[in-house]
Amino acid sequence: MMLKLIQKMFFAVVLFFAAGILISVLLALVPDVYLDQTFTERFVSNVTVFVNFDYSHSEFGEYTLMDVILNRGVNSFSLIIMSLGCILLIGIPLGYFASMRKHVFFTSYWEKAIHVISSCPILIWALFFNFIFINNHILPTYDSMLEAHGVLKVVFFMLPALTVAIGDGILSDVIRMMKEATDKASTEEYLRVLRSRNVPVAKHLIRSLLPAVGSIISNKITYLIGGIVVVEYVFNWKGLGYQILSSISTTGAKNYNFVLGASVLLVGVVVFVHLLSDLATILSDPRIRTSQKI
Amino acid sequence: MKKKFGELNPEKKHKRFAGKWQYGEVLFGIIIVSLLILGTCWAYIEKQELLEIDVPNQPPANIKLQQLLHKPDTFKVSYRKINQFSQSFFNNWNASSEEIQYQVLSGPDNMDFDNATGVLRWTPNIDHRGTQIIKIRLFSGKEEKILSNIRPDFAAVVGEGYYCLFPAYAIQTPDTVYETLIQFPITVSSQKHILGTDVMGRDLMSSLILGSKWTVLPGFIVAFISVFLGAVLGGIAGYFGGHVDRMLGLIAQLFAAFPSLLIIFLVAAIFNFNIYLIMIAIGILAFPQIALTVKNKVMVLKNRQFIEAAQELGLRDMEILWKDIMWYNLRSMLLSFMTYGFALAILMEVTLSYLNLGVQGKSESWGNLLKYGREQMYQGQYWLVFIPVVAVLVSIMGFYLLGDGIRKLSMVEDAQYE
Repeated sequence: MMLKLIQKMFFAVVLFFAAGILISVLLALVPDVYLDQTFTERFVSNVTVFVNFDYSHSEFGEYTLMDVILNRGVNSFSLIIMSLGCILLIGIPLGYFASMRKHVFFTSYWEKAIHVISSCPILIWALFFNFIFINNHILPTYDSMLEAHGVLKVVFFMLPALTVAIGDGILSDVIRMMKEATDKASTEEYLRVLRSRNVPVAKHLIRSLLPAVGSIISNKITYLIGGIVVVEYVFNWKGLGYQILSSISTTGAKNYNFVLGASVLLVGVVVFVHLLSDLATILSDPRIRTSQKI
Repeated sequence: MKKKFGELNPEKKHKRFAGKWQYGEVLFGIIIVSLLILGTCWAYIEKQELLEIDVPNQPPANIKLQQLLHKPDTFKVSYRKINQFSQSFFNNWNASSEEIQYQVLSGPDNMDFDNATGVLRWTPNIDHRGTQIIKIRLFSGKEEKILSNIRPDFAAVVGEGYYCLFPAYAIQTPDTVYETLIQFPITVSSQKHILGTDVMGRDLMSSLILGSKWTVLPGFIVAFISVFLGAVLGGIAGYFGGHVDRMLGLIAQLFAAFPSLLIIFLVAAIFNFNIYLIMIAIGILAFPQIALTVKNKVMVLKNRQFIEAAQELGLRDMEILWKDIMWYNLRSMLLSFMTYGFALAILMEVTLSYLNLGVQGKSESWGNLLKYGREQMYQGQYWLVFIPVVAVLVSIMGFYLLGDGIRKLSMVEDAQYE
């Protein structure tokens, strides 16, 4: 088992470095008239910054790059956590009930309705919510969040987080994956034995579904991070995605070091979540844990 | 034989997927695809004619002001087709025009305002296309209460053939109740423009047609590259395994760890926001998913008996892979992946253009229409966003339904032969 865990961790580190080098290559290829450097020089400087994790130099006035990344990162990661919460609170229970209540007449209909609703792109959902809720001052967004206290800040997250969670087919994917996982788990032999002896199976079934939930989250975290870039732009939410966009686009001020740092942070989070999911699967499933196969 | 619980009747197996809906889906998809292709052809051929902006001379337009009861802190936005609206104009009229006087502070140059009746006459011409802002001051010395309760809800350009919209825009109640300032934009367009005009006076219908050219060719690039790479690498990985299989797994894991939108942003910056080159990158990013699906299908199919028979007959491996597996068994799946590629391309074009990273300048791509229409949406001109959104949704849905329909129809065939 230890060998498996070490192998997974090693693979995650390799993946992280591969992704960092890929970003460095791409950033070195971006044409910049202000930099009088060749591709190789820029690539080497990017890799140096990435490997040394050196974001202390200042390009934002009095703030260092690290300050800005952390400041924006708090907003972005709050948004990601809130949208993960939406998925956990909406998608996972719906998927579970879609599997358990299959014979109910309405199940297939609301499943199809959610599928249609969810396949609408994030951008269009964001515009729609913006028009309905923010234009009519029903729900607030980023602007006055800093003045809000404690739990009330959740209100500010509701619209962007919900947009990321349901758009681009993420919610319907989660429901489908959860339904398949529940279908598969509920036909296991040991559950049939439990049913035959009139033991309530829900506890055992939910426990066996936890690795599946982990794999769903690790599968969807990449899409969520892609989604928050769009949502931050539309809702004027000052997060990492907003800053990356303004650092790249034609209208914003170019700042490729910020793009490097922010991308590495986001990739790091994705790799970490994938690793956690893998480790949880290995530790929770005795068949994988005890097998000799690597 | 007794049927097990949950087992479908084998005699009715082919009816599981057969139905009118599949043909309807395919038909709907084909109509959407044809419309897009036609729009693209038209955009390339008749570009000058489509871009022509025209506001014909019509009878004078009249603008009147209407008072409704004041609801504090709410701004109602209303849009009306004025020809139908002008008759029900004086509903909820609380004050006669004698008690209130008007003064026009600014507006179009050839505008004429009758202070006694509150009628504003104005003939828009070609120079007035787009949005004109009219500022009017209301004041009264007699009834203070009335003016404190004023909420103007506008109003009318009544000219035959003119559609106009009247967002009741920012009424500021001043400290003194004696006067108030009304400011509202009027967008000039004529009946010639079926879907209205945008803020620059361009016909929205023409813009939509011109924008369809950014869907077909980019879509074809994404679809072709992703499906070609997916079929070749997935087929080889599934049939032969080995290094290609391992490479495919590594690439898929690397791409899964990386938010693809970030790579697309960087690629867009590298290629100087050239949409066609960005679409090549999107195709490359999309292929691992297709390749993995194809690989799984090929791994299932290569253990079937007809493959064994072909191998016994002495057919070459590549021939079996491309002819027996890919062409005869997986072509409908690959075709449906191509339609999904088109949908992905439309989605990415709209998103990137909206984020200033896609089609540059003021070209009429659908994403640009959304981008420029967004500011106007808050002023009540909702169709500038609504109509492109409908176009995007309908085209994406058309491509998805086409793919689904093709898949299900092929499943009907499979079920009939089994």
